Amino acid sequence: MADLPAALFQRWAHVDEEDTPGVRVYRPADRPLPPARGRDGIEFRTDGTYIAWEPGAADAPYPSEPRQWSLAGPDRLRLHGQDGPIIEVVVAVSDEVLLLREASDG
Amino acid sequence: MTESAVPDAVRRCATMQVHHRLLDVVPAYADACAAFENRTFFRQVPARVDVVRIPVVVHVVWASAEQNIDDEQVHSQIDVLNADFRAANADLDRVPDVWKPLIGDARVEFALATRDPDGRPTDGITRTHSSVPAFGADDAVKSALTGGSDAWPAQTYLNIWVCQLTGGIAGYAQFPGGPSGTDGIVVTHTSFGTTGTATAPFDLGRTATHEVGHWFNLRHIWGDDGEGCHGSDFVDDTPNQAGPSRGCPTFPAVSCDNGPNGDMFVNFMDYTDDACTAMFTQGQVERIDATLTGPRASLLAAATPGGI
Repeated sequence: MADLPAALFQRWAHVDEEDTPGVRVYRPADRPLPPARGRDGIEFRTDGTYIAWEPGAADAPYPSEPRQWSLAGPDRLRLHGQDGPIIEVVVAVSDEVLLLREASDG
Repeated sequence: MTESAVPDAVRRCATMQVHHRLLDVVPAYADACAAFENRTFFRQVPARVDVVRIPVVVHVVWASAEQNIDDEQVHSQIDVLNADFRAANADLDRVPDVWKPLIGDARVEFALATRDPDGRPTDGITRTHSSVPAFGADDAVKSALTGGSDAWPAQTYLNIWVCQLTGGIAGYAQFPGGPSGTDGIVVTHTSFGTTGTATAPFDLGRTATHEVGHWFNLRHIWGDDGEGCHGSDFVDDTPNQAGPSRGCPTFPAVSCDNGPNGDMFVNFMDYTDDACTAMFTQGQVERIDATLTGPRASLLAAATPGGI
């Protein structure tokens, strides 16, 4: 965790209209963003857990149960989800934006 | 569409993702939900003939002048609701011919309240200057204690809150049977109505149409199972559909072996852009009817002429 910027540890909303091939763009979820009919999101916590947010059945975002993440190398996170672990590369992170790319070797 | 398995009304309701929070914190909600779904499924009564007019209060909660939307924008939203829930919207011709016979008139109209909960005259719009610049989907906007505006009695009014939402949410709703203090819908001001701050592609008032659909117990047309083909909206005349539609699809958009006609992306309960949705089905109208004789029956009394 010490290798990861503090900015990572907040709740992020997926702004999919900003995605580029292979790279997903997230913005802080506690700020106004262009409206959409449901955005997914991800929330990283310093205790080694993360929350996957999905649009709920009445459109309010709904959290998953806490799931585990761990370091998988420099700028790489291993996310343990329902379908087994995946490796996400933290392409960039700041107070304004988080860029994630799923590693092909994950 | 409906599930192929034998319906289990209790499971239907309790497995819906959005219910979990209420199921956790409001014990009576689970019982009410199960009982209502059972009544809906076994309901065998003639369709309602009379038009119901729902009293509406719009709570404008604002921190900046832009968020304090004008009366015209509010009225433009009421006009859209009245068109959409009467199948009187001017863009019905967007519906592909194969689904035109399924178009449903919900026989529901909406009017800004003329009397407040104390019986005093009102224009049906409350305005609250808040120190909160933007609200999440945690219902803070629905309470004066958290910078919002308190609900008017839910058994009498449809509460609509308009504010700046965070996280890029256009709006959200509460299904029937939940706590009355948070009952209603919330819409971000740039997705509300057709004038003022309303911004494309959500500038035709269909976010509120969609959310009021939830308020009447309608579910997403794809069945809320991600991209799967097993979820259900508990309506027979909507096609099975994988995940939500986005933008403005071209007919036919096939998923889940639902060809040749494909996904009903013109349905108000999909996630399509405002300009590309245009209809409820008759099956969805039946669910609305069931709601108005069940958990929202009190609104029928409130809707009588000379009432509110």
